Amino acid sequence: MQIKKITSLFFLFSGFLFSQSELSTGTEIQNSGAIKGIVRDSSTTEVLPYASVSIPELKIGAYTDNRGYFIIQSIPEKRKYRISVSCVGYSSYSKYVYVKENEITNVEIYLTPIDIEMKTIIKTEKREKSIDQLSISQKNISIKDITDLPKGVEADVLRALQLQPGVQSAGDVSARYYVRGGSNNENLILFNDAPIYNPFHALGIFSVIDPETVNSIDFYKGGFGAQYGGRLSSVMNIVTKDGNQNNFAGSASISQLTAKAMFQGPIPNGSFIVSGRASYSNAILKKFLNNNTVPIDFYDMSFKLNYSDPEFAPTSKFSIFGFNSQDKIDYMNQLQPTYNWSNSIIGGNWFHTGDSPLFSEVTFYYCRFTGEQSPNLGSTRYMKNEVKDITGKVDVHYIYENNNELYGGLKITDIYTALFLSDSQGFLNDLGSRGSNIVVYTGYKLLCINNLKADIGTRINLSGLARWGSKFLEPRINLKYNVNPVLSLKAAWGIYQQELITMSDENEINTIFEPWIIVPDYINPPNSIHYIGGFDIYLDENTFIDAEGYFKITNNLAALNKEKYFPTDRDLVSGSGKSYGGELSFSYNKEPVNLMLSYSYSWTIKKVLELEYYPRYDCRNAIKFDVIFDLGSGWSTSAMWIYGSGTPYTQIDGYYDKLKLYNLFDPSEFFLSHSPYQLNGDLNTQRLPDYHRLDLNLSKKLKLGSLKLDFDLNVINVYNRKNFFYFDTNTAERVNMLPFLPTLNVRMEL
Amino acid sequence: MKKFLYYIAVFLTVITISCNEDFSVRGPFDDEYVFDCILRCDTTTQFATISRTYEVANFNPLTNTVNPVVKNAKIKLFYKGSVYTMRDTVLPLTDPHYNTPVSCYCVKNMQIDAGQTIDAEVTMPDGKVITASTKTLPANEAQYEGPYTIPEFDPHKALWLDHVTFMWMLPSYMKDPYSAKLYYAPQLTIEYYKKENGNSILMKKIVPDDYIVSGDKLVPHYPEPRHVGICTYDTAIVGRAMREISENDSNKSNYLIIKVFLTVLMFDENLAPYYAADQTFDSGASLNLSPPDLSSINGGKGIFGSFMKITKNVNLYDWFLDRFGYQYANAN
Repeated sequence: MQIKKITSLFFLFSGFLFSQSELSTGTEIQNSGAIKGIVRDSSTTEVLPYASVSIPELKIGAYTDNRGYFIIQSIPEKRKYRISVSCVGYSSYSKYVYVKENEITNVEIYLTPIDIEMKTIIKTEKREKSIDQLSISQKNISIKDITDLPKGVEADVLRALQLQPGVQSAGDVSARYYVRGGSNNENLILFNDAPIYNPFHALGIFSVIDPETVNSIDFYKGGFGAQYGGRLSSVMNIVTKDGNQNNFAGSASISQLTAKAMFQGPIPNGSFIVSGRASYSNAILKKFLNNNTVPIDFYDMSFKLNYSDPEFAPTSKFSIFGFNSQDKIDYMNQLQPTYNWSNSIIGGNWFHTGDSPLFSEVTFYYCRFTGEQSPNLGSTRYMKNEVKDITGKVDVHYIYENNNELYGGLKITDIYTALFLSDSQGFLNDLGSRGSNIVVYTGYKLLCINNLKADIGTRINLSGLARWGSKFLEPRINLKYNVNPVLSLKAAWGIYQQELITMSDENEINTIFEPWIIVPDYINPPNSIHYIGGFDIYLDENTFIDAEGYFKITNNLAALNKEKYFPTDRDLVSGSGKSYGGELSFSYNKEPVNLMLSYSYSWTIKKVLELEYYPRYDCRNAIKFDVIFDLGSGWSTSAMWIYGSGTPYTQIDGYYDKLKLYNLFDPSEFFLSHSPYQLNGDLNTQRLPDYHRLDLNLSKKLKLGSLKLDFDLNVINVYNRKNFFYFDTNTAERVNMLPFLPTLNVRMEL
Repeated sequence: MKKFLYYIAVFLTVITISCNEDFSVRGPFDDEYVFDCILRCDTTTQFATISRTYEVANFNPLTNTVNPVVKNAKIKLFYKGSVYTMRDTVLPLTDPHYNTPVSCYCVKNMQIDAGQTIDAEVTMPDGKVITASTKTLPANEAQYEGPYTIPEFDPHKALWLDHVTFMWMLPSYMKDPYSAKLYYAPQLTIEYYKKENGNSILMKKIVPDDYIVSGDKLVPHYPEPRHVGICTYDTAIVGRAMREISENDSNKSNYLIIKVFLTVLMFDENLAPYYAADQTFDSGASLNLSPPDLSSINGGKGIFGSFMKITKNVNLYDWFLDRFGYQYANAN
């Protein structure tokens, strides 16, 4: 009921804003032209997302999207203009373009990476972008950010997220993360628009995404637009590289855990890229696993093929991409269980720009996740989970002459899940189901008013995965008001629904894999409402302060039924949750220093079966600091310090001998069949010691002819802080997270 | 710059001296009494045990060597307007864990009938009082679907089935039998006489519902208590159990089958979830990490419940019994 009221208010407000934008479009310049194009890296030909393209003379400009495309409209026609292009890490570039009347002029711009030319970096675009764009709770993460910072063993996309304020890590030994009080399964991870259901290798220690293959990462901590759906908390959109269109190139690297290689090059009218990574040693993993040897064996591989025929379809690009990851834990012992899990994605994309300010994209993909736990002759029960996701979608963006944007799309998804669990007799019960989701989304970006920017949209679920025919509306709004060149105010609000959930006990320390199912029909799909507000302060060209506060309410939170007594009792019950907090970050980027310091304060409260408690990842205070220092001559150093106040845990208050009944026909059982039962205190009312860790990195880049070499020395947990991981009640030992650990990586590129 | 270096030095000192921080996994000891009492309808002697919660130094409760049994408590059972007092007793059994005689409380001459409420009041040696209450099931109303025969004949299909299915129900719970929080433990028994040295000895054979391969042996598996009032036995399994009666004895005429009957123990609404919670967890039918801590005792832990018993005779066809060479007291 509350959601219906809020939705009505949303449409009233959107109507008002839309009418305001229509008023402003009445002042459009007639007889104008436009410039549309793509910005690429001159050495690799990869597209450059978020590059700034401007016409200084007219004081107008645009930014490339995550595919490297941009469009600047309303340019007075029949003359030449100098367009200026800049991007972090690249030399700025300018060229003259002639603008014809009522025509769109296509350009292709190549920027030269700064490390080829040595020094002189231009960073002013970062600030302009922040002012002009709606960026609440959003972060564009560059691969350089990931690779330059200290790494556990090797650079990891998901671990890098943990430096973001509002993102809570599951610990040193896990790449799992929690965003603003949401569970791990509330995070959507997209690989070229296709979801990765289990993005973890090796018990969750590493992500399955090789950073070498990644071109851009957009990360939304909340308040994300209508184009994204299916999760309650966050979205991470990873777009992979296209491959070099001019030259064949390859790289290989080796760490203490994996060996990997990448090969890319041109094909007629296109390019390809193939990469693969495989584990070869478990020695380093012992450090992650309290010196236990777990026979982890994994690999991942991906490819992308791009084709763009200048004659057949000059403004179109076709891509086919694929991804596969496989993990296996096999003790080679029939008394120990064997685990296998894998992700597979195959998809295609047709991106079309045409001769109008219209960008359209057709995407289809097939994703499959399988996870299997086989007990062999041991006592672990058999479990198998499978998710098959077939999706087709169409996205359309139309840019008005005043820069406003109308966008929309249609997405049709068919998902099959199977979750086989064996009972004590060995019979398999399937908790899976199948469902189809048809969703239409639409939105309007209001960018033409100088000080006010808005993105208003909604997702309309015409049918639900969980209940065929059930409709659900997910309205969203994102606002920004530039008070003056220094201060911007921002706010976002939205309703989010999730119909695919994982079934596992949230108190489990480290799950091998979390099984996915469609929300069963006896509970309503979870939904959340985000309220976000904040401000940006641009102290100068290099210094930026970002502050955000949030309040998130989650309804119908699917939680394991702790009062499941009978086998026929439901596995899940509906709960609720709320989280709120504030995040303050300060960043300074001026050569040779790149620094970020953030503080976040947060509360997360869940209520399940009338019990209110703080989940294990509820971290009240967090401080994150990272600095990268370019020492010159290919040397660079970085440091990272993370502090988190203690997270909740439950104390052990004693034991008692509990009567275990097996056979009541035998009267003696009543006297002889007891086994110890642990008495726990109130759930999660105590706090663990604070977590903190300092990591250092020193790296050196060498160029020997056409051979590039990177040496990377990392020192993890420099002062050997004993951060608590878990308490082993079998051995009565405290198990800590990563100790002091030096690691060395070598990368070679040809 | 000096100030900056000073702050850095202070910061590094603070984090270095805080390399290890202790905390307590152990909370304040939860000192509680544990009262277990399952009232049986198949005997007039009822038993209860009382113990106490305990702590261990190393978090491994199996290392506890002190039997936490509580003696000298006063247990009163309020039943049909009478008060039954349970007395301290030591049984001729040895506790396998503590290696001590089993101490318990018992009361004689207490017959539990169907559909009755029973209250318990336990006064501990330190004066603390815990209470519990349960209601026996209306087992006298239980209905079988029978009559049952082995083998079972399907008159609709006019053929002999390879299994026999038993079904029973309590009319009070008929409205929604699947949501009823009941549990049933079925047992099929063959009662027979065996002649030994001229004497007839009364013996019983419990029929398994399956045989499971364990190593190079076949091990009998008996039906587990279940939520629904139904159980099935393969005719071949019953036949195998029949053969086992006289295994290694070539003189089959030494055996006289008296009767075959199904016994069903019916757990009441306290005992059923207590049993079910453990069974559901142990069988892997729950994804929870630990079994629920379910107790029916006010002010303490434990279980106060009851079970009733119903039996149903099963007829055997002569031609089926002839396969084994046995005599049958009630031949059809």
